[in-house]
Amino acid sequence: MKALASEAPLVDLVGVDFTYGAEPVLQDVHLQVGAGESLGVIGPNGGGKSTLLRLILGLLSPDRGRIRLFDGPPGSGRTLIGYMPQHIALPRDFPATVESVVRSGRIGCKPAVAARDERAIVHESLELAGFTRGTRWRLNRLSGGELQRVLLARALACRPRLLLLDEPITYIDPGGVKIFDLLEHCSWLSAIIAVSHDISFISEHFRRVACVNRELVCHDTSALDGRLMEQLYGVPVRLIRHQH
Amino acid sequence: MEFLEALSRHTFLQNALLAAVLAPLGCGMIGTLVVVKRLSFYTGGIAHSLLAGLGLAHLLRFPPMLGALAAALAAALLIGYIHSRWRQQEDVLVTCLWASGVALGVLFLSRTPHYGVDLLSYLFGNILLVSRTDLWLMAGLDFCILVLVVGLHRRFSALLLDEEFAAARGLCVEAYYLLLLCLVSLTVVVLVQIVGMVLLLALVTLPAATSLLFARSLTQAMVGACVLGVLLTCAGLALSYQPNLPTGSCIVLLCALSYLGAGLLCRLRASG
Repeated sequence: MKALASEAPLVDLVGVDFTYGAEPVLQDVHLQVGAGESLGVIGPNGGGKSTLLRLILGLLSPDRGRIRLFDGPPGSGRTLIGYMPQHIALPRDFPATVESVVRSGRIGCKPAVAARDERAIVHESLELAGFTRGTRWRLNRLSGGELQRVLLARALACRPRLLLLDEPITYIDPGGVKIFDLLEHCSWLSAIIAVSHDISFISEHFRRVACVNRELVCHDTSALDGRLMEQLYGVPVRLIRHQH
Repeated sequence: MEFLEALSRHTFLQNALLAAVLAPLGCGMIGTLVVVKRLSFYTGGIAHSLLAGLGLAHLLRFPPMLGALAAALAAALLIGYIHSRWRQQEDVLVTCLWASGVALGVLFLSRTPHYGVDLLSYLFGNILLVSRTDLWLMAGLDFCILVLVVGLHRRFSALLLDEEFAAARGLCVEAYYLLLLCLVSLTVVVLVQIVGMVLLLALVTLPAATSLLFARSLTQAMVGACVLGVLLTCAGLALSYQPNLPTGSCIVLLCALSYLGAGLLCRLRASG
């Protein structure tokens, strides 16, 4: 554990509401994530998982409640977060090499470093993300899993204190993911929050899990059972649909 | 070869050739961004609404290019606003702007004596009528575009690749999006003299799209689009001169042919 008990939490949400149009997406959400923690977030599609990440990133503002990031307002600590969005949104025909995509993760990093140091950081990030192909490759040559590793490397390139991952295992073979070793390996990284629809992945790799379906409830992963899932997803039939 | 001979004799042809070199430069850089970010519909909207500015400038006896520039920038800001606040109705609203711009322009020009010639040359361009002042304006706008695109290259690249990630890194995405649209309007103003507002969309998108088929980076694509744009525009000018064909149409058809040819080549290479 890197945490000291007295430290303020890295992420602190108190009584947060968020509404898209007239539709309430999140209601009265309380969440604290401290240093050294890894939190898995599960819940049905449209339950508010990605909205939660965007609120933490400061891309959305809550309608009610308070969000603190690294003991400051969300906007100020934003550049200390490594964010890996779902990779489906990325234009695959974009003319860029792996290296330049990872380097774009350093936008907003202060102080700026020399080009040579930046290249070293890019290569180290790719190594940490387990990317083994050519760094001069164009994006359209990559498989889904490879692209996702590149996006993980891009998230790591700013040497973040907090890593936010949106559906990290969609295309990566779960057995090959070393995301959780990152907390041990990287002195700069203090916490990981990952959103996933894959409950078995979350329960295997995370000690703490937050179930989000408009409301957020935190559990120990050991407490995840059929009854809880039924509460979260409604009827069991729907649970099966979400798992494939 | 008659073209080369005439070139040494006529100043208007020398101006036209200079324009054929200057205009595609800014266009190659911005065209690449337009194609990658899929902004060609907006580009069309901006291009057509500048007729309103041209018309008003003629009516009030302002320099027409100044009117075009003001209208194009206003259209860019309006489209940016529509994009951020009215995304649901974006399609209809931009179409409305596109058509209203043309309508207003025609209305203004109809109140101006001897408007007929001007309207046609604005719609389809006339590279042979480019003046020294126009050339300086083109060079100036090219320079502005070059400085901004080179200086903000990484930011634009991040914006194009992944807007949400760029915002998460603290980039003011909306401001850069607006700036990009304003750069598009500068490009459009440069091009309206060469190929006219109806055809300029082809010159913005086709050389860039052709270059993007082969490029490994945004910079490579931009350089390729500039070189290709200059070659095609000069070739169009040279081809059209002797048989006295409309230059804008020749340029645009050459662009289309080169894009289709390159696309076919890529297909063949991929399958073979």
